[in-house]
Amino acid sequence: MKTREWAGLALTGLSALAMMAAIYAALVYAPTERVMGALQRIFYFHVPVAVVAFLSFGVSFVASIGYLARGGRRWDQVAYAAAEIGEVFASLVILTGMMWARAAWNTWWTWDPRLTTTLVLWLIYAGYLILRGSVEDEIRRARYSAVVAILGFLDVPVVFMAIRWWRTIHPVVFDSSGVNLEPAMLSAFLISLAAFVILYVALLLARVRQESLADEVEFLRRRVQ
Amino acid sequence: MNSTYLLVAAYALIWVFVFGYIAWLGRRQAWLQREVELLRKAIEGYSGRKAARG
Repeated sequence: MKTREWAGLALTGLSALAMMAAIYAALVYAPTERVMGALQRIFYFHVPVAVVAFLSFGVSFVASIGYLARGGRRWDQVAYAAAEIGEVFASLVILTGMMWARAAWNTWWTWDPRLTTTLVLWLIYAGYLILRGSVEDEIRRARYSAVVAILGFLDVPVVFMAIRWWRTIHPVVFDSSGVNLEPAMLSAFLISLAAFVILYVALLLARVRQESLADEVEFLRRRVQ
Repeated sequence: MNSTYLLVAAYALIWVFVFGYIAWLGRRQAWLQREVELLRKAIEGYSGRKAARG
């Protein structure tokens, strides 16, 4: 087995262990919140998933700038892989948020600034993925996608700041006064965040390798033709 | 709606998405590897026939 494959396997194992620790921390270790009760435990997965989605769109943003500035297929591969994984995590942010909203606000959805800007972000990257599937020419596809990823990322700081700029009913846990969490809750959150970041790195590496394999298939097909 | 039910549903949904995505990646990886092997064999076969003729 190659070193890269061993590294991938080790990362997958580490990710599984970290995820088990995160589940334990979120469901057992963290104390039950007084007002929301057990439902508050969604927070330990909802927020790390959101952070990973933002991180992933950030990676796509940097790689897209890299592609436009320097060219090179690798930048485009990373940008594509990161945008796709970011979209998976963004979908989870919206869906888990809706479940929390149903219990807390008695509605699945409300046009709150945080929710609306998150939905806009999801739609932008859905558009990005549709664009990637609809442009035949490789160079044009990579260039257009890079522009969309760069412009799309501008919504990330807006999503983050939405609860500070506008009136909102979304809870604010991290504000200018610090972190409004019990130490045990903060520990559970950090464990969960670490687990999702490790999972994200494993997924990103696997997805980028897959893009290289897809390129090899395309190259061999051209040779056969 | 019961909040415990929603909590369980949220956690289940996360794992369905994550494992679903991993399964999709795995299937695609297997398909791509099969394609690479088939195409390499086709190219080797063609090169072998060409060498035999030449």
